[in-house]
Amino acid sequence: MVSRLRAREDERIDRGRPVTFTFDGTAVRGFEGDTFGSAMYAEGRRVFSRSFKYHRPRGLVCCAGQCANCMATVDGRPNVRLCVEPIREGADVNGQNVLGSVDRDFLSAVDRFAGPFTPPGFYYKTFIRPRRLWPLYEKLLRNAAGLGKLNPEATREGRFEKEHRSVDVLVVGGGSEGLQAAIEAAQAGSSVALVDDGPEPGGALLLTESGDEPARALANKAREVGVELLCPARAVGVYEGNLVPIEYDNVLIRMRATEIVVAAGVVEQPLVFPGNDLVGVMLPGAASRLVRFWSIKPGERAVVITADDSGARAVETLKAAGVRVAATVDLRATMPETIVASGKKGRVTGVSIDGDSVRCDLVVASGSPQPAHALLSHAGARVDYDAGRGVFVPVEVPDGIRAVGGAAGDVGQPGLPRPSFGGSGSKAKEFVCICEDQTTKDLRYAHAEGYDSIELSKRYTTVTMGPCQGRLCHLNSVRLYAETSGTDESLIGTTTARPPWSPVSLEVLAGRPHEPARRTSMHDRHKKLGATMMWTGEWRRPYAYGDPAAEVRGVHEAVGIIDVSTLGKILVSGRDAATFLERIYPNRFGDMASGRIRYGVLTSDAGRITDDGTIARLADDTFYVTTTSTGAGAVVEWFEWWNAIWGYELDVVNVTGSLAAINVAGPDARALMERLVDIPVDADSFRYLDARQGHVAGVPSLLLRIGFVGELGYEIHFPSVQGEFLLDALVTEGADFGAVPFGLESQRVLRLEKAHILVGQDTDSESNLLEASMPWILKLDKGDFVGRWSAEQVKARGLETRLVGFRLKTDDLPVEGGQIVGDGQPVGRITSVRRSEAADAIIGLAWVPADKAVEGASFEARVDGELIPAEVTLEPFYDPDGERLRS
Amino acid sequence: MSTLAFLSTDATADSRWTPIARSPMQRQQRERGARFETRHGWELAVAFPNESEMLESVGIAELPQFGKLDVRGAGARPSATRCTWYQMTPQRALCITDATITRSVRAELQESARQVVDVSSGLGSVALIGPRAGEFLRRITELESFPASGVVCEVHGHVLTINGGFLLLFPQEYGHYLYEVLLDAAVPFDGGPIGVDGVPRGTIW
Ligand code: FES
Repeated sequence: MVSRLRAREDERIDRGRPVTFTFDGTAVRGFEGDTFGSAMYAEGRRVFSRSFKYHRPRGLVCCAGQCANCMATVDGRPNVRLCVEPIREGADVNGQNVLGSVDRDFLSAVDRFAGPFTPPGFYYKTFIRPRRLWPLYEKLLRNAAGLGKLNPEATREGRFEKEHRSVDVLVVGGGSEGLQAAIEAAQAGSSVALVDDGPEPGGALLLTESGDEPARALANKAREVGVELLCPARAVGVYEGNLVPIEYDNVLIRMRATEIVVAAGVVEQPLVFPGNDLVGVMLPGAASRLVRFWSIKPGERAVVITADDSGARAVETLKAAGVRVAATVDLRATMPETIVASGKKGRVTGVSIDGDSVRCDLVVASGSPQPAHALLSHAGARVDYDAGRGVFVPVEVPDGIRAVGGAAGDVGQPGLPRPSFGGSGSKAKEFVCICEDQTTKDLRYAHAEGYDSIELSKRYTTVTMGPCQGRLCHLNSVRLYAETSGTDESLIGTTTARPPWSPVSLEVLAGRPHEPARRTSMHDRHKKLGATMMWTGEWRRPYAYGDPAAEVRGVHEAVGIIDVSTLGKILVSGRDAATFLERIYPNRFGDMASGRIRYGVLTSDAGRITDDGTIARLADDTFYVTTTSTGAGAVVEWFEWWNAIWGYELDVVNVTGSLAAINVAGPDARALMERLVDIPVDADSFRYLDARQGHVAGVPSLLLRIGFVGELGYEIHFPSVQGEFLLDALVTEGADFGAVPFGLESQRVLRLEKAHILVGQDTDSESNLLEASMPWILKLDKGDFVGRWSAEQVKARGLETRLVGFRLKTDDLPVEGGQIVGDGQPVGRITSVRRSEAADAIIGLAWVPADKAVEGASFEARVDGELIPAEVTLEPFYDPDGERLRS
Repeated sequence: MSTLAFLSTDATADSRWTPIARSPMQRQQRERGARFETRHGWELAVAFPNESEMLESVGIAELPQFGKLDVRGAGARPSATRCTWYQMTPQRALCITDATITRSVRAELQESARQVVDVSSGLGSVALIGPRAGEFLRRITELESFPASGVVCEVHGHVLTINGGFLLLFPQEYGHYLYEVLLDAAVPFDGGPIGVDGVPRGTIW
């Protein structure tokens, strides 16, 4: 049956531009301007979906994207509301939540037979025994109920953007009041944007005969005075700071407004009566939209039951479309005791009003026009029940928010429908919530079980938690609860309205994916040199350029080059810089000469190790502090936080990104440096732990003679933008020494051979200096410093655990984090472990009971489930006297 | 050398070597057909194909050669005109200079400031130029009145106004990421990269 009317002047469709798509494999033809829903309805389809739980056939109810009745899967995208989704050539539309098709859904047996097993909360009651079968039940239930299915294999399609905007006035709702408010604000000189979810503004005006003209005139006027019209667009919610996210095509506009005008109008409420979900029962707005927007005749014979003027408007529209109106009930004039709809195969065939039956294929019914107050509630408005009109109205609206028109409660004097027209005789289901298939019986049952608060009822029955988010069921559920408990609606109250008010897809919320990564200035060169990269915090660093063992040998036997630009680098300068460092570090810096370097460990006020690095004194009042690769930001904050209290005269400047750093290490390091630097680097002029400035390959540099990897080494710190140039120079000039670039893996072996710790790897949030075997750092003979008290407490109580080196008598490499076992119990853990060619053993660091921290003591480590003996080593595994380092 | 000379590329002295500065965006610039020239010690992307079309919407120009000075203490202001002063807090400012005068401005500011740290190497700089630059900027940052500091493309940076657009300053180690994100964000605008020479005269100073 084709329901398309003859061409009308104001229709939205372009009959000259046909569009074809398929629904469940069958071709459907519509026109440009149609939605999938309107095209399908025009071609005679009445059943659009199956209900959530009972799999009852469902048809169009609102035609405004407010309910769940027309949800389907479009081109693999589930839960698309067909009544508002513009038609697309070639689209593949399919019913969802069905076994079979929407016309023949085998799961509809649930409606006939499973009622007694599916009361509210049934999954806590009828499907709990035997308990071990719950996973099976759960799978069955999840397959039998729900919405569309997400495709876990789906990948991102299309582009999604975020835009940050601000205006003086944002109007939500493009009906006559919204447009009027926008025009007035713009005329007063404000910047104004208006959001409306229709393809053009006009709101309810567009649903009335002769409403198009005034709607267009208002929209044109708004454009003329500079109002920005965002249509179709949806306001998702109102957040703190008058932030309104707006879904506008593929863009999420994060709009901030000095004033938000909510002109969202009203939401037509369904009437609650047996058979109220039959296909063919719809809201007046839906019938009007079908006729006025898409020139569709909604039915042949209609019964119209409403509580306000929408009924009269619908009658006018239906008659103009050639629909025979068999009966009209205005609930302001007559309040029937009972209304019962009957049907065949899920479609309405008649209505009985107080026992008088009327044959029909269309029931246009609505109760109270509920002000759309959700956005106001998000903003903190108070909403009260208006007993005289049977709706919730906003009463206290916060500053910066204004409500106009229907949303403000301007709904005239509608009739007050019964919470339920079922009476006592009907056995047919009477739905309060069509999204979640909750009936009057379910809600009364929940109430009888003790769920007497509307918030509890919401969670127990899931009323208002479906896709309509309470638009079509909140008021009715409150009114039914009031009736059931013999109280009034104001005592029942409302449930909390939370964003999103309009559904929004996660891809729009997510926007474009961003993954900020920090790269050193030599990144591309590393890749050219064959490096495999790894993450260290936000940084990308070379793991190795080939064989890490060969890299280690290269450093021990010739010279290695490693990019250490990721080290945190901080300048601390000013009159009080030395005093400050003395107080924030446990060791001493005041007595350090300019041009010298010291190792430093930072501890928290609880004495726990938080970071480490070197401190070079560049001048009396200037120190250059390095930190761990991920620690710079936290150390700068730590310094600034303490100095906010101490008030020393100094500046802290984070120069981590400004400077690149390269460590040149190995017995040939000096010879290589001599080719490149313009300062003497011989052992006497440039001693171990000296800091000097000079040029390396012409690049201004700070050179630090330190040795994390245990060989003679120079750390070159220089402007990062010259990183590639300097690395190239080192590699070229070092070629005949056999200079090798080395990565993090070899660095980890080399530092482990020297038993140098990595903060965060070998320490955790509980580690203190004494137990980490660094008592020499603590200078308890100086004044107060951060963590001093705690260090004294540890000293007084004695050490319980110790970080020690160990050699393992096996060829199997244990995992880092592996257990140390004593008397069959875990008593410690391995923090670092590697195979060392230089030490000819598997070596590592581990936390062991303090009494095991004796040279040569043995303990057991668990490796692949077996206990392997290990021997404690308190000295470095390589060059224990540091002769190579100091050479 | 002065105490903090190692922070400044212009402290280059050794005549045997000619150090070159390069930005982390260079690889992507090459892929997009940039022509490079060496100026002021920098290998700069001076031109790209179709620059005039980009400038009708939003052109993205990397200008890494600018000097950037982190100035601490109140009172100091440079006398030169080819520089921009961004007072971040009463005690801290950022001074952006033309590459040719960075050394002299630094010396001048050091006379009166408590501390001047050359962060030229630490901050990348990209200009967004064209009639849709404002609209483009709204897609990448929440900031709305400039100059301002805050999050741009998920990275902390600074946004300054220039004639017909904006100048973004950001930690250079995010340069490759930021360039990729900016060029991608420019796609719906039909915008794209322009070179140093494509920046219309008078845009910056
Ligand atoms: S009929 Fe489509 S959402 Fe209600």
